[in-house]
Amino acid sequence: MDKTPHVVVRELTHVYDVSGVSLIALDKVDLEVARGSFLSVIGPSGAGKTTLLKVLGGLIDHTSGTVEIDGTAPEGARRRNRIGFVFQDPALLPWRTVTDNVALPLEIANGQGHGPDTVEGHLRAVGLAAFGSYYPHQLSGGMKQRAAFARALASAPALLLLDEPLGSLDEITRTHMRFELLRLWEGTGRTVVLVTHSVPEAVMMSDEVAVMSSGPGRILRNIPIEMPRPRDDAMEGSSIFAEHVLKVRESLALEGHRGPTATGAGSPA
Amino acid sequence: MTRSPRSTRTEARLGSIIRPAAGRLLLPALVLGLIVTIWEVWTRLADVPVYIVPAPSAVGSRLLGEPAFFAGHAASTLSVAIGGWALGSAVAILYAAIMSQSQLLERALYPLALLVKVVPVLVWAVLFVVWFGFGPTPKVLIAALITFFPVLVNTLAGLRAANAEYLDLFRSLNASRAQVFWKLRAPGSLPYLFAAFRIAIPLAVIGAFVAEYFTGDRGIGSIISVAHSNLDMPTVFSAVLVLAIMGIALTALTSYLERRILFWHDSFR
Ligand SMILES: Nc1ncnc2c1ncn2[C@@H]1O[C@H](COP(=O)(O)OP(=O)(O)OP(=O)(O)O)[C@@H](O)[C@H]1O
Ligand SMILES: [Mg+2]
Repeated sequence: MDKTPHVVVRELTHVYDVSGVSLIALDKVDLEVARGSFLSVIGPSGAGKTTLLKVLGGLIDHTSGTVEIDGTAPEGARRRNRIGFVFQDPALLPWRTVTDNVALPLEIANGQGHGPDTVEGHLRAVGLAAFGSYYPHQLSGGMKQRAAFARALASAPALLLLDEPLGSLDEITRTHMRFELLRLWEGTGRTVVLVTHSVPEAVMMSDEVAVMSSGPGRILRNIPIEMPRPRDDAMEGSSIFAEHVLKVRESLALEGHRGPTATGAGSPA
Repeated sequence: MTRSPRSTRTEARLGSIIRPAAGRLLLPALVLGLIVTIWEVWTRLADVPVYIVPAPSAVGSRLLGEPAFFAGHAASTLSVAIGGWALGSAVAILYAAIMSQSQLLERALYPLALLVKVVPVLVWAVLFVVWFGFGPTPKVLIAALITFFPVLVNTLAGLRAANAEYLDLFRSLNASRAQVFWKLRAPGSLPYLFAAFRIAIPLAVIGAFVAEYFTGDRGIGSIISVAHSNLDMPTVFSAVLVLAIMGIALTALTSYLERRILFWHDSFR
């Protein structure tokens, strides 16, 4: 296995220009994500989590510092289709069937002509095999998000960037889908960066949790999660899980006390 | 998701409350029947001269006495209206597609479209007759001109309406400009286009009518022009009735197509 980290971020600073006023969204962020590992980013609203993910995915150019994905700039990794995104909003095209939505990345990459077999495989993996001909408005919220995952997997990305993908779901579906996602990911060797607001979710899913502070956005602490894999819902009652949750909560609370005194980049979008 | 104006949604909701087709037709039919009865009784009791307001029975016997006459003229009005609508829409959609490519193009091309709009239709009518004579050409052009602006404005709004999540998705998939246009913006603008058609189709009928009224030897407009100067009110009223039926039928057809094509849109769920 390759020992170099998949993602290396050094002194990453991102400044938004809001009608002439500079807003520091990320301030000298350092981060490493090991190949094939699962990292969660947690932090208050406006901490710059989405901004960080967009920089990693090459959707926006950062202001200063270095960001390397597989040793190249994110833009380049994106162009080689090495990065898959899932956002909080499933963003399925309403005029396409589930199958055609999942096929979108292949269609965009190869012009037309996608392999229907590959698409079917991805649909089966997320439990939507019987729903390929449905339109998004005929699906539940959880099913839509599953379709969005199938779509992200369709381009076989080495790096998956997930921005609160379960955030719009109800508690029951959400908890259930945590483990579904883990089953999908385990053994694929893919690297995952997950943004979430849920401490139990971050702990249950990750190898490491990065706690961010806002105003301006920094990474406060990296907390390794030393729990065995595969993870399952039985672990939710374990003391090791509770300890980690507590640890993350403490780091977040620390940042909560600091919040008001920090300079004003923390206003929510 | 892209959304057309609210009203379509409210309409759909009202439609589902008064669901049964019989119920939907029964109420307007009752109201209409009542008005016609009062009108008939009034003209008889008050002895209203037929050259001022004809009784419904007089209009009915005029219309049914010579159905081929009215049908023939209606057909020519209809072909002018539809021809004008098709031409005006095609040019407007193309123009909007070009304008949507950049702010610069929009700034450069929009004033020209506005010029077409602010010059009174009557001025265009005079010019078209001077340039193209009294054949069908100037009439089709007038109907096209009236259709042009609403379709242009709505299509442009629709092409620009793609929201940030979808644009991020397409960017993360490395889509080209052309792919973003054809796979995202163009289908996303369809609800806006249909909203424009709801306005433009009745306008095209009015445009065709006005053109025939002033320059025509054929069509509903010319019938009214001639009958009016002869104080032949039953013919005037019959022609108006035919025009109204035409407008309603075209609007119903548009709604039907809209429901079929935009089944995925919020307003039809
Ligand atoms: N496009 C933009 N232009 C200007 N400022 C922006 C833009 N996007 C985000 N910001 C600002 O940058 C800061 C960080 O935003 P970001 O969306 O990254 O936060 P977040 O941690 O994802 O928050 P949340 O948890 O609420 O999603 C906020 O103060 C926000 O106002
Ligand atoms: Mg965010």
